[in-house]
Amino acid sequence: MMLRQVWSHPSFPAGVLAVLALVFALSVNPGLLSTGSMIGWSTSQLGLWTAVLGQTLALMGRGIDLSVGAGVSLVNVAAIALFEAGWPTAGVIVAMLILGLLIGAANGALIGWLRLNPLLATFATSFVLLGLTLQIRSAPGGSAPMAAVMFMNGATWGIPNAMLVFVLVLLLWGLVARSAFWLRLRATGADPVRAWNSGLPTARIKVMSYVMAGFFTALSGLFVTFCVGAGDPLFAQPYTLLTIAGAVIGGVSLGGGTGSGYGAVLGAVFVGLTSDIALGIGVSPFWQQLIVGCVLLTGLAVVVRAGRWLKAKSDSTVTRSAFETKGKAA
Amino acid sequence: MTALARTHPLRRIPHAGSLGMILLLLVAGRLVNPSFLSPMNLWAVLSVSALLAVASAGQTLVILSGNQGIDLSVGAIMTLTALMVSGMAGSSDEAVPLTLAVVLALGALIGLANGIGVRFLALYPLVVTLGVSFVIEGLALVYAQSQPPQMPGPLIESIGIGRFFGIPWLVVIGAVMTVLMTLLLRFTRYGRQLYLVGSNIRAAQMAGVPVTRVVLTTYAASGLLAAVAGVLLYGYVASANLSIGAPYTMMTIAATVIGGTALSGGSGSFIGTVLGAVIFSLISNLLIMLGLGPALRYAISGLVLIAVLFATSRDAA
Amino acid sequence: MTLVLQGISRDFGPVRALDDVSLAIGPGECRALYGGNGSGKSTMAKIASGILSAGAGRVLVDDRPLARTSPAEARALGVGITFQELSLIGELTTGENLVLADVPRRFGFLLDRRGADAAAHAALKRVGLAGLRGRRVELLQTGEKYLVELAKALQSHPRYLIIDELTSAMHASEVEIFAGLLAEHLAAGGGALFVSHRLPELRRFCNTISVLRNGKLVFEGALADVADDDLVKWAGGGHRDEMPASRAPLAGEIRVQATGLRPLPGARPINLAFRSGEITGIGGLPDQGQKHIQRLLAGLQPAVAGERVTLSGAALALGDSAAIAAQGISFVSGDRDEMVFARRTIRENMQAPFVAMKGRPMPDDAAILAALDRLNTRHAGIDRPIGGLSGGNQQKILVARCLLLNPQVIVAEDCTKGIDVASRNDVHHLLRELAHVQGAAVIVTSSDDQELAGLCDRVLVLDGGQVIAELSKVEQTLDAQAIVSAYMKQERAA
Repeated sequence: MMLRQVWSHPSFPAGVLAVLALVFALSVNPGLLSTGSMIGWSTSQLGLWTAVLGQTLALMGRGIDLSVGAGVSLVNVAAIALFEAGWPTAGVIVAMLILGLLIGAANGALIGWLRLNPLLATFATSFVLLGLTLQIRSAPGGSAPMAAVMFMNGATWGIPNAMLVFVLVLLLWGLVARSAFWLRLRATGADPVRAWNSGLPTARIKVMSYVMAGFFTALSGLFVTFCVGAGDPLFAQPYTLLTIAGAVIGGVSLGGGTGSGYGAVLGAVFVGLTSDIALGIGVSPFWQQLIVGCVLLTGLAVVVRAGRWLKAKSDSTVTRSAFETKGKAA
Repeated sequence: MTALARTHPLRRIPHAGSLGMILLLLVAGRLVNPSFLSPMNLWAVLSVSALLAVASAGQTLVILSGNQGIDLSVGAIMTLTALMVSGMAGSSDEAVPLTLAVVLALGALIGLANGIGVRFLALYPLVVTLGVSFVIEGLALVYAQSQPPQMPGPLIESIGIGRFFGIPWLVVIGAVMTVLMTLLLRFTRYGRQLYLVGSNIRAAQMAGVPVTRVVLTTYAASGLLAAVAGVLLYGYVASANLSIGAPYTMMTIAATVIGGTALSGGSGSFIGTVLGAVIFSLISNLLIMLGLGPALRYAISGLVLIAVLFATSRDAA
Repeated sequence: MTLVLQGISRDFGPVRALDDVSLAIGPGECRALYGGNGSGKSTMAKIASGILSAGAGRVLVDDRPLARTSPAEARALGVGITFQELSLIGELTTGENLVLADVPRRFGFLLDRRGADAAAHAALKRVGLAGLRGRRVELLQTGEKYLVELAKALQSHPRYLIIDELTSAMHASEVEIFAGLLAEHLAAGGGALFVSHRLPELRRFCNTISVLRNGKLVFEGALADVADDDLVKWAGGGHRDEMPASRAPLAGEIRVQATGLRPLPGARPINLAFRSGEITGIGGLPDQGQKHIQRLLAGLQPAVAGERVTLSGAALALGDSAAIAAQGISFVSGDRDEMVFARRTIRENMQAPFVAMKGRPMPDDAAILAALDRLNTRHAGIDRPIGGLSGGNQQKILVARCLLLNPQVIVAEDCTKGIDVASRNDVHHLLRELAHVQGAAVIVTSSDDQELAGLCDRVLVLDGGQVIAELSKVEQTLDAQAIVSAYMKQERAA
């Protein structure tokens, strides 16, 4: 019974895949687990790992967020701009979290209240956010406070601080995943009409999901700022597609209602590791995207198919055992 | 079932919303800059619209096919095609027929791969086409590395910027495409089956529609049409680079949806998409005429897109 | 203390679905809301429960107005509803579904798992399904889902319960559970609005009745004061379901021969044969393998090892619905979600199989109109979207489509589900004609044993994937009671 719950969990295939990728990465480059190396890849991936949680919130409510990349970038350049204007670190963090909530609220209002299609609405807001980003800073530059950057790129007891920070993010996610809201969001995403008929305020739930997604976007933008230490209008643009790929590999359904944030993070880890491995084994940068793309596509197909197969198998066990107990009772 | 047919008179004009929007944009353009309505600018806008319309033809088919159908690989296929035509045909016309045959076949094959992912692996179209586009971009990168882009030969260039009896070739091609697509959708067996599959795939299956064939054909056609659009784009821009096609992915979706094709599939028309392409191109043109920098152009086109979506395609309650 | 719907009107586009309808439900009252397809009764139920807005008029719950179109508010005011199309979310567990609207919390935002489980346990215990609270709803059997739907509606302790066609998909034993809970609810001073087509159930559960016809209230009063004949007439039909006394020559040659069928996983294989000119019913408790047999014949389900079906001697391409349709087997389901192209026109819906298959001449408008007329289908022009019609009329169009196809075999899966008596009769007449006059082999299932007994020439009763009884009209062994006792006996013996 317990075992079945493990292997039929939507994130199980992604977990297996991430472990395989890690083992492979280690066999290629055993130095991957040295503190210095860990600092390197955890700081380069922290923003993506956090952003994928925002994407998960949007996907869970049968939405999608194509503005993740632009949102993270905007937070990044806006934070640097405020630092340059002399704001204190705490003030910048608060302001950026508010900015993230506002971005999320804008997406949420368009989708939940104005009922625009999520794909197109967030595509449109991504233009607006990209425009604002480029308006603030059209080329990489500026700098974040040294202390914060040093901290993010440092380590405690041999563990990179970026990873410790991410543990806090996961704890925060734990609250989301255990909330009453999460259950209601899953219901809304799985079947909006029936959820509404059941008395759920589906529009408000959708808006809330984007507001919370905006919070994770802001966190991601702040992490990028402190890890990279500068403002770059284009650094986080690929996040939009990478978060979708990561979430889907991690077992989050585009149809809404199924999946988990932890799975999505595992998926994002896999996506990130693949690129690192490709570089690690000395693939030419020109071939890298083609190879990584093929691996991701295969991984995606395998994971999604395997996930469905495991679920169907688990379900048939459930219904069969129901049939048998009925027979026995009779 | 009692009273009937009290529809608003404007509703009876097909595409009244899009046509009104175009009129509005033309008037606004005239107010901003008197040369907006000059024949030169209008032909330029129409050329760009025709290019976008051709690129959107496949997208329209895929979105009509419903079941979350969407093709995010259009831009990547256009990029790869432009680079390959540039690399294979070079600056002469001799190799053009062979090159065209190769790139169109390749486009169709990529589309078929999308279709196989959607139909046989039962993955979400968004995910499949996104993954495939990532791979195709990688392929383009590798190809561009081995075959540096060149200038187009006279034939490709004249398709891109030449004229036929005073009408830009792009517009002529766009018009022909409009007629062909409309005939395809309304009068062929495939077209009618496509609407059925898009409207309700299970019902289509039960009625005996060869659903697999329809879906595979649709995605393959989308790849093929994207390749056609890539050739035209190369001729129009007269050079090729790695990001030349990328913006078209979302632009084709926007044009299709603004044109009244439901993202949920099963209803819409190609004429609508053409009008959507015209609207999209007019907006871009207008913003350039206003003399805005790229940053503000992005921001404003995003806001305008939101407004257009709000006016044309709210999801049903 | 009453639930009052006052002067309710509602338009759908150009169609007036409800026209100044009023009704009231007091404590202890179970009011039947009755009418034909498209009469507006489902619309009325949805307005009462805040799903749809009323164009005019108002809803008062114990003198408090339902101000917004919001099921949440109706629920808060004390109205509970069970949906014909269910309000359960398949991906969630039964327990999660039950607490959705009112999630037990800790610290105001965290889900209180233990509290939620206790609440779900208490609610499900009332319908005898407490053991299923950890199971996803999509894995439940049909009747179980409807019981859960009932438990969910009762969960908020509503004073007024609106029951929209709940019992039509339930089995007799499940209806008993419902009857007990309804009696409890009424005895506690609650009121109920019972929407149903089934006269025996109306008679059993209700004391008052409101009858709708074309969106207007045509009768209101005590149920005891009206005769069944009047009710059938009001439902829109001119004629009752008269059985032809003598039938056309029955049972021609064997048209469909199925061997090695395994209707349920793990069941022993069985062989079945269906003759031309005969209507064969497949009855029994829900989910005893009926679906597998029908879907297999229609090519909608891949064959299990050893299964083989021939049509007039030629092997069927099992699992290939297109090929099977081309071979002359037509499938009609009462589940309109999987049959109707809602966005497309009536014409396109009628022509769909011809668009799908090569080599069959496309029926023209005259042929389409003639087929629709045969079934007394009401429509506002065949170039309008079918989605705008009432469910019953959509269903008739699907059956009329079979008429155009003139198939060798018709597989009809609960094809009169949720449609009114008059429409049902029209469909029955047509099926009989297709079988007895045109010589098709017709294979039907129905959740209504009465219907099976009336319509069919022969009924096979399934249990656990095995044929446990074969009843025949010619041998005069076939009536609804015989079907019920066949499977009930099995149930008791087991």
